[in-house]
Amino acid sequence: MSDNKKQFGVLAEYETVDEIMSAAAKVRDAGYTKWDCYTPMPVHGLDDAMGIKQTKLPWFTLCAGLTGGSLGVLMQWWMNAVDYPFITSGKPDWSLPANIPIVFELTILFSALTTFFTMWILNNLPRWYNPLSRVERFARATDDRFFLAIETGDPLFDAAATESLLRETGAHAIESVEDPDESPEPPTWLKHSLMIAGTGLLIPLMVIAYARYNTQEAPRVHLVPDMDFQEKYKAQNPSPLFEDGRAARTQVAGTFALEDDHLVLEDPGYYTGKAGGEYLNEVPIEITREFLERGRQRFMINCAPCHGYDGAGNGTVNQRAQSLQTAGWIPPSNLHQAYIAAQPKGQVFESITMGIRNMSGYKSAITTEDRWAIVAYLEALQGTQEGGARQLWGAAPAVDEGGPVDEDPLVAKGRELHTSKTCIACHSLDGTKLVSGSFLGLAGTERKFTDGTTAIADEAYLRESIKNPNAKVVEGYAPGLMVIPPITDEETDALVAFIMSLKQ
Amino acid sequence: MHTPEVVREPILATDTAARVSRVGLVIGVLGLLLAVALGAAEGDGMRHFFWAYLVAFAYVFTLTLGGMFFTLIQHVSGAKWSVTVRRLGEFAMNTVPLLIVMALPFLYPLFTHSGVDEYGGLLWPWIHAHGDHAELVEHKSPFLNTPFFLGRMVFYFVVWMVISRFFMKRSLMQDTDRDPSYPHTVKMRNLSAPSIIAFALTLSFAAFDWLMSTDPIWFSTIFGVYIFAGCVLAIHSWIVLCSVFLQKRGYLKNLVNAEHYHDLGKFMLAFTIFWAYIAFSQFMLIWYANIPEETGWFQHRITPAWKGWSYALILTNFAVPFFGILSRHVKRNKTALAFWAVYILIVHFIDLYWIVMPNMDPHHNPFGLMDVSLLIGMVGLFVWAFARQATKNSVLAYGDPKLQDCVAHVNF
Repeated sequence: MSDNKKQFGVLAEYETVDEIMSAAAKVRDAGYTKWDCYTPMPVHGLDDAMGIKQTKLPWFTLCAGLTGGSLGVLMQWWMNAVDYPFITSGKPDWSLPANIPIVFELTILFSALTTFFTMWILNNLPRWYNPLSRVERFARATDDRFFLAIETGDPLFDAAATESLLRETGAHAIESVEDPDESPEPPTWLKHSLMIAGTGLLIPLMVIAYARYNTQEAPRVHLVPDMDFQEKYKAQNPSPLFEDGRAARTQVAGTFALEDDHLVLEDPGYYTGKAGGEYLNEVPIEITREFLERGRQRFMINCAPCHGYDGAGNGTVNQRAQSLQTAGWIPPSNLHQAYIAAQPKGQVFESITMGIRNMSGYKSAITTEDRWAIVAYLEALQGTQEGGARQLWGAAPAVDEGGPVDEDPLVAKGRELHTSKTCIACHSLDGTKLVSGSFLGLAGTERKFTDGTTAIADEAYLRESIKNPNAKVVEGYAPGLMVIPPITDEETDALVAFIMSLKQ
Repeated sequence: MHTPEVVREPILATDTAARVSRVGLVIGVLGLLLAVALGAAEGDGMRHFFWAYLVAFAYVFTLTLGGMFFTLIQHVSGAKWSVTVRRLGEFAMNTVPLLIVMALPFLYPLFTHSGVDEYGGLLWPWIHAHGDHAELVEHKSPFLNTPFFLGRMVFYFVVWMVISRFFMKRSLMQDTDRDPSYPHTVKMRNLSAPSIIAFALTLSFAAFDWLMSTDPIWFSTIFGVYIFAGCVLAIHSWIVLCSVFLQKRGYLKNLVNAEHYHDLGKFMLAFTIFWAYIAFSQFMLIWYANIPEETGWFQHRITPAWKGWSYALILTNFAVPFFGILSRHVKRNKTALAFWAVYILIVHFIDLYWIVMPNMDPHHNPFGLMDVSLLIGMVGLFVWAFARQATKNSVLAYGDPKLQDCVAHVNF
C-alpha cells in the first residue's frame, strides 16, 4: 500500500458458507456497521448473521401503491366528470367500475417503479465503480469464494485491529484494498452522449408545441390510410360498375322498399299525405286526447332533440352544434314560422315521411299512424303561439306577408316564391339571421367571398347565386350549404326583383 | 446456518384427533338436527332449508376440492416448502366419500315436484322450467336435464375418488417405503399433471352445474375460476388453522415454523387478491356490456334485500383481509395469521351465501339461525371425516424426500 493512496478497507476471503456465516456474526458482534459480505449465491440466514435490519422498502411500496390508486381515481374523475364530460355506453360521466382497471394498473405501476428505484437509492446505486472490483482475487466472488470487506469509513475501523479481527475469524486471505480515488464523475463520453440524447428528446416536444399553437395549411398525414380511405361507396358517390354511374341504386321498377309501401296504392292520402296531386288539408284520423298524447310522446322522442321541446328549433342537438360552432351546421327550422303553420297537414306529413332539406325521412323510424299523430300534435303546439294560432284558426288576418298594395306584380310574385320555394327557411325578411343572411337590405351591399374577392350584390350577382350558389361563397359560410329547389328563369327573375325591392 | 437432521418418524396425534373427530361428529349431528327442525318450522316445505343446504354443501365442497388442489399443485411444482403441511391438505382431499353422502339429498329436488314456484323447480329451476323464461331454459335442456346432470355428478365424484384415493394411498406408502429411488414420489409427480387438468375441468363444471345453474338463464365462463379462488383461499386458511392447533397440542413443533406460515399467508393474500380480481372481472364485463340476460344475475344482488350484502362483500372479502394480511409481520406471526385464517373461513361463507341465496329469492334475504346451524353442522361432519384420518395416520408426510429441505426452508 503506497502512502499517497487512500485505503478503501480490508478484504477477507473465506471458502465455505459456514466460515463466512461465523465470520459475519463475529464482525457484527464486534460492533462494525460499515461492512458487507459478497457471496456467489444467496446465503440463507446471512442477513441475521450480519445483523441487517428489516428493510424499509415495503413502506415506500405501500405509500406509492396508495398514491397511484388515489391518483388513478382523481385523474379519471377530473377527466370524465369535470374537464371533458362525455357519455360513453350510457354510463354516468364518472362511474367507478370503469375506473377500477386503470386504478389497478396505476397502483401496480407506482408500486413497481417506486420499489425498483427506491431499492437502487437504498443500495447507493448507481455507482461508477466499486474499489473491490479492482482486486484480482475478488473476481472469485462470482464463482466459489466468499468475501467480507470492512470499510475505512466505519467508526471502529483501525487498520491493525480490524485486520487482526478478521484473522481471528479464520479468513484464508486478508488484503488491504486501495481506493483508486478516481473521479466520481461519469466519463466524459457518457456525459456528452447523455447531453446530446437529452437535447434530442426536446425535439418531439418542440414539434408538438409548434403543432399545438400553429395552423397547418398542409393536409394531415394519413398514418392509417386504409382506415381514412375505406373501400366503400358513400351516398352520392359515382361507381364505374353501373351504366348510369350511380353507386346508390334506385328502387327496381315494380318493387316496394318497405313493408307497407304497397298500401300506398290503396290509400295514397293516408300513406303519403298527398291524394290526386293535392296535399290533404286535415289529419285523416280522428283526433282524440289519446292520439294527441301519442303524438306528443313521439314528438318528444323523435323531433324535440333538434326542433326543441317547444318546436322553436332550439333543441339540445342544435345547442350543442352551436356551442361547438360546427362548420356547415344547418339549424333546425322553427316550427312556429308562419309558412310552416300555413302548410296543409299532408305537406307536414310528407316532410316528416320523406325528410326535407338536410332533415332525413322518418318513414322507417316512425309508423304511419304515429307520424300523423305528430302532425296532429304539431298543430296543437303551433296553436300555443300567437302567430300560429292566427294562421291555423283564423283568429286574426293571415300573417302580414303581402307587401304594399301597389306592389309591382313581378315583386309580388317573387314574394310568393320566397315562401313557396322555401327560401324563407334560411333567408328571413326581417333582418334576422337564420341559416343564412337575411334578404332585408341585401341588395347593393358589398359581399366578401372566401377566395378574397368582393362584389356588389346587384341583379347579376343575385341571379348567379340562385342558379349556381357555389360559384361565389360568402365568407363565413360553407360551400354546398344552399339547396336550390327546381326553379324556372321567370321565377328567378321574380325572386331577383323581389330581393332588389328589399334594398334599404 | 444448519438445520438439524429431521428424524423420519410418524407423528401420531391419535388422542387429539380422536377427541376432535368425536366433537366434530356431535356438533355435526346436532347442527344438522337443529337445522332440520328450524327448516321444518319455517313452513315453506323445506324450501329455505334446501337452498341453505346447497350453500353449506358448497362450503364443504370448496374445502375438499381445495385440499385436492393443494396436494396436486405441490406435486406438480415439486414444492419443498409445503412438505410438512401437505398431509393436512391430503386429509381434506380425502373426505370425498363424505361429500358423496352429502350430495344424496339433492336427489329429492331432482326427482320430485317439490318446491316448484314462479322460478321453476327447487334449487335448479331448469328441472321444471316454466314461466317467463321457460323457452330460453328449454334451449339449454340438452345440457341441463336431470339424467345428464346426475350422470355428470357421478362422473365428478368418480374422478375425485380416483384422484384422492391415489394420492392419499401413495403418500402413505411413500412414508414407509425406504427405496432410495422413491418410486411413489416419482409416480405422484408424474400423475399429478394430468390429475390437475381433470381437477380443473371437473371443478369448473361442478361449479356450473351445482351453483351457476341455480339461475339457468345466466352464464359466466369465469364462474368456475371464481369458485376455484374460494377453494384455494379456504384450504390455505384451513391448513394454517389446523397446523396452529396441532402445534398448540405439541405436534409438528419444529417442523412448521414462521417460514411456512409466511408462505401459507402469502397464498392467503395472493388468493384474496385473485378472488377480487376474478369477481371484478366477472362483474365489469357484464356491467359494461349491459346485456339483459347477463345483468339479471347482478340485478338480483342489488335489490334492497341484497344490496347491503353485496357491498359488504367488497369490504369483508377483499379490503379488510387485503390490508390485514399485507404485512410480512402478520404472515410470520402464527397467532395473527390464525386469526386471519378464521376470518377468511367465515367470510368465505358470506361469499358462497351471496352466490347462491339471491337465486332463491332476489327480494328477500332469509339469513338466520338455520343457515348458521346448517353450516356448523356440515363443517362439523367435515371435521369428523378430516380428523378421523389423523387417528390412524401420521399428520406428517415423514417419508417425503424433500422433508429436510422443507424444514430448512427460509424466505428471503
